[in-house]
Amino acid sequence: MKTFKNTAAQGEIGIRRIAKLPSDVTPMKTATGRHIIGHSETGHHHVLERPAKVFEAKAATAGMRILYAIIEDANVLTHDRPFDTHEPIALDPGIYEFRIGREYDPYEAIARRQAD
Amino acid sequence: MTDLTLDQYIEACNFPGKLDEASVEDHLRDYLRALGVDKSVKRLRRGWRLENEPSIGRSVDWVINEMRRRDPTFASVASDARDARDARDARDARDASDARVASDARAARDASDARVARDARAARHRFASWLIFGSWSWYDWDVAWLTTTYFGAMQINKPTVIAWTEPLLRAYLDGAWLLFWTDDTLYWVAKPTLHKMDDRRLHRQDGPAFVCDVEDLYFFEGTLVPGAWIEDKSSISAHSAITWPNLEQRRIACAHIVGWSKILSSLNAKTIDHDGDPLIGTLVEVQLPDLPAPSRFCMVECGTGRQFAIGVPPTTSTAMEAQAWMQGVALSKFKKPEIRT
Repeated sequence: MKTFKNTAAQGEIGIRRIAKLPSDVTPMKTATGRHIIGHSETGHHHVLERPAKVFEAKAATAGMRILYAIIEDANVLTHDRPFDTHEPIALDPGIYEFRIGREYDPYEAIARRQAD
Repeated sequence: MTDLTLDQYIEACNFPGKLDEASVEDHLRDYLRALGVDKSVKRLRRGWRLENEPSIGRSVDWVINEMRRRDPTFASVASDARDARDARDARDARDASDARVASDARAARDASDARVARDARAARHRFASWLIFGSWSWYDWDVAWLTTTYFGAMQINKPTVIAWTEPLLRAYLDGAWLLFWTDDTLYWVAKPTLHKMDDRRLHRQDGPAFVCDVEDLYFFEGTLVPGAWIEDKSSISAHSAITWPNLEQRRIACAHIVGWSKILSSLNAKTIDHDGDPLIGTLVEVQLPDLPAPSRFCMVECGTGRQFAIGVPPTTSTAMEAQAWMQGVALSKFKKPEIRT
């Protein structure tokens, strides 16, 4: 398990510790108790192992998905894949921003979320 | 009392193992009797065709209608595909929100009638396979999983549960793997053959890694890939590999199917900027077919040591700027991660 102070990345997800939750966000629900931070088409999601308050930015930059989490008890961002696994990252109590990486499609000339 | 043991079950979990077709069908008929269900029992054999299995066709229609009813997004995409001969939607029904469904529909509409009809049949067949694999329902008709109930029923002495799980377990021991229920038939599928790496990832370089009577599937180092990539490596071009929508599949295509050297040479790649840190990467420019101007990609290593090519805007001038753009922040505000996994 890796630890960090201010910035980290797990696969396509950029993680940044921030001081305050932005106002233009909407709460995200989870049916399973584990929030999916990075969704994978093949089911290999990046998830928060324990409950947290998670929010999504209402107006993210084109092609981006930006999430926020208020971590009250120590948590871990885990990659749910049995192989080529991105090592878990410990999240101490605090507020975090998760930016799910985007890429540019030269044929469509648009930015889109990186999909795996 | 029955004479079945956990050791027998464990042994039967080594696929494909024993196959006694007549015995499987006898046990499945016992299973239906125990449930009080009147259906015929039939093995789904390799090379099956949807037109010869009308009850599977009825199940496919039912599911498509149900998906339309439950998900308006699917309904509009599905009707788009339906306009183009009523079927290309089926293949990607699981990705109903995926734009590929609509583009498939457009492609089908543009194709010749004969081609469309053939594509439609193929799409419908793939969708039926997907249903048989159990991807549609929240429940699961994997016999390996269902039959574990037998051992619990024995432990807590539940004769009514033992009555249906015992014949099912016997069917499993004799070679049944999957069940698929239709309105008049209980289909069963024999256990597949799996080709794996030492760490159990599905993998095969010269054919399907998952060989099954329903449908063969191709995997490379655990990643599902189009069969054509494995059967004929020349079926995917350099530009198709580097622009493939799914990152994991793109990585396989670039690194193992086409090969980075061929991609870079055939697309006349030019290095624009090379960051010393492989986690930040190298910015390259390539000329993609049908585009008036060159395109730029950041070739970068991820925390697991694998290499990816990520598209970035053509105005990007350094690998670090590419990293900032991918994260949607200005270069001046971009901070290199302290750790990257």
